[in-house]
Amino acid sequence: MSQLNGHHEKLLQRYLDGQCSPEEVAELYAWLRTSEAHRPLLAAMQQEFEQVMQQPQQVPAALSDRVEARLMQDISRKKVRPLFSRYRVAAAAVILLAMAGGFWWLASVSRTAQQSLPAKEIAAVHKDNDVAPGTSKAMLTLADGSTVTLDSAGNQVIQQGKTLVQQSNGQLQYAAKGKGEAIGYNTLTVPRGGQFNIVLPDGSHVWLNAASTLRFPTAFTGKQRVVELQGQGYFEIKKDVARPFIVKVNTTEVQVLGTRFDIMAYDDEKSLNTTLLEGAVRMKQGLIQQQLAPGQQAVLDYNSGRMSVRAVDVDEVVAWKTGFFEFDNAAISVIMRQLSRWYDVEVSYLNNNSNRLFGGRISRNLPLSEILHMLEANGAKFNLEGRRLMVTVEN
Amino acid sequence: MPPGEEVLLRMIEGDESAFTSIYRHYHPALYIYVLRFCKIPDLSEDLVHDVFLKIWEIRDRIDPSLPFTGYLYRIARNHAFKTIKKLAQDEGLQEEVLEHLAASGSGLPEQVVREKEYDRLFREALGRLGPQRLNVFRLCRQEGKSYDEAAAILGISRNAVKKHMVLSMRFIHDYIYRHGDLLLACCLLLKIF
Repeated sequence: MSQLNGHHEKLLQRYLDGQCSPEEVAELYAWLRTSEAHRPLLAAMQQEFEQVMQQPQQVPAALSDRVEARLMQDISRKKVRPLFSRYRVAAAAVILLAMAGGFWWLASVSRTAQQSLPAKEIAAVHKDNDVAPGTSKAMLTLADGSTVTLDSAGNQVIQQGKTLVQQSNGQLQYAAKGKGEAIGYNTLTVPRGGQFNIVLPDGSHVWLNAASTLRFPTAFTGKQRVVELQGQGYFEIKKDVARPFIVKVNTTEVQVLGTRFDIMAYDDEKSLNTTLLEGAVRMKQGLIQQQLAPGQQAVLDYNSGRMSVRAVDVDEVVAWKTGFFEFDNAAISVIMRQLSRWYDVEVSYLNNNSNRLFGGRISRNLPLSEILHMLEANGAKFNLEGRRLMVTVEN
Repeated sequence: MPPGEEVLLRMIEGDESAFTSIYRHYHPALYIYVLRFCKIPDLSEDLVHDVFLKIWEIRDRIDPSLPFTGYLYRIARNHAFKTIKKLAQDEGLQEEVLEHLAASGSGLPEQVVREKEYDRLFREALGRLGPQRLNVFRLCRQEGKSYDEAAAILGISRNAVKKHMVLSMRFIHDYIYRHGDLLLACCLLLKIF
């Protein structure tokens, strides 16, 4: 087991053991505010956990009972319906879906086999009227206003002045040749039912989700690297301390040095969410700004204009980028907005006064019917006509 | 003994009594863990609550073949990490931390008195539960039976067992809150549910 070395690490150890003077606590907290403390703190957190777990611990019975009573009330009140609960039981279906696109709880197949549903029953639903999942497609608007259609199978090279743009399948790569180039702006537009990713001239990599656009210069020449986003994008930014990277969404700015993060800024959502996976970013709206630590999400509520920060499950936020839908305690409307963009269907509700919540994870490469079927097993009903999807949620 | 895989599987399937046994086994260590970082008892208690609630919420995604403590660690660490960052930012909370650090050396006798008083009141409250509710409470809480087992023994529905448990825990807390002395009342004041 690694010991904590160094001045601050020792201070942290004394703090954990309850031996710090007030001055030392102040010093420690000042250090903890810096990003430099991040790694040692996490190391200490792991080490402490192992140590604490090794021996039996005692806490006041009053405390134990208090928390237990709260938990019991919480879990009996809040009935979260797992999206795919019936599917976990349907072993045959699980295997089918696992082959179709990677399924989360493959591991649970054997122990639930006794209650399996026939796979045919599932396959039959919506077969005559189904919607295929989205694909890699986009449209690139060049500086001169001309457009190039990009699809998943395309391979082409586009020359714009001294900038070479290479498309290989679902990816676009920019390479600036030489300097002194007058910069022009390009726009990558991903339609509903599409996704695309792009390597910018500085080597930064951006994945765009369905119904999203990114506007960017063909070369980053100034003191800042500025791009404009609508919709949802996942960014992996090349570190360049001298030239901060800025993502603009309307009047909101996300400022970055070098990092991985996701911005979700759809007009039909309730808020603009910036989620940090690694590094540091700052979200700015007028005079308000919030700095994020990894695992945190800044939420700018469109209605109130308020910005708040919360801890989130980052895997869930960027599931789309890795080819999954993932939800945790999500209302049906949240799920339907994502489905609507990816399958390019128009959603309307017959009744949506249920506060039923859904959770689960499933591949985005499945036809729409498969996803709907899972929701149907958990109290939602659908009627799909062409690309119009009617939703009913039972209470 | 940590709860076996069978208990974990039951929790994953949504069995509240299995969740409660998992809570009972792991919460003391978890509390000590978050308290070491966060120092403020009330805050740490809330964190323990939040961590277990999260466990319940993500139970579907738990792979029973992986060590459960891994899940516990990930969630507890994230919560504690966020909280300690908040402590480092917030001056008001820092003052609380300092108070608790200063008091922790001398807090022991008070703790013992509190515990004794709590035990006495707890037994008193038990004496006031109805006979069926007391049976349910004894089976589930003191003999560690699952809701299903208790339901089978008493010949009542599982739902009834669950209801008895929720209501008896709540009754006991209300009782202790109403009848506890000042010391205990202070200790409980912040948590009324």
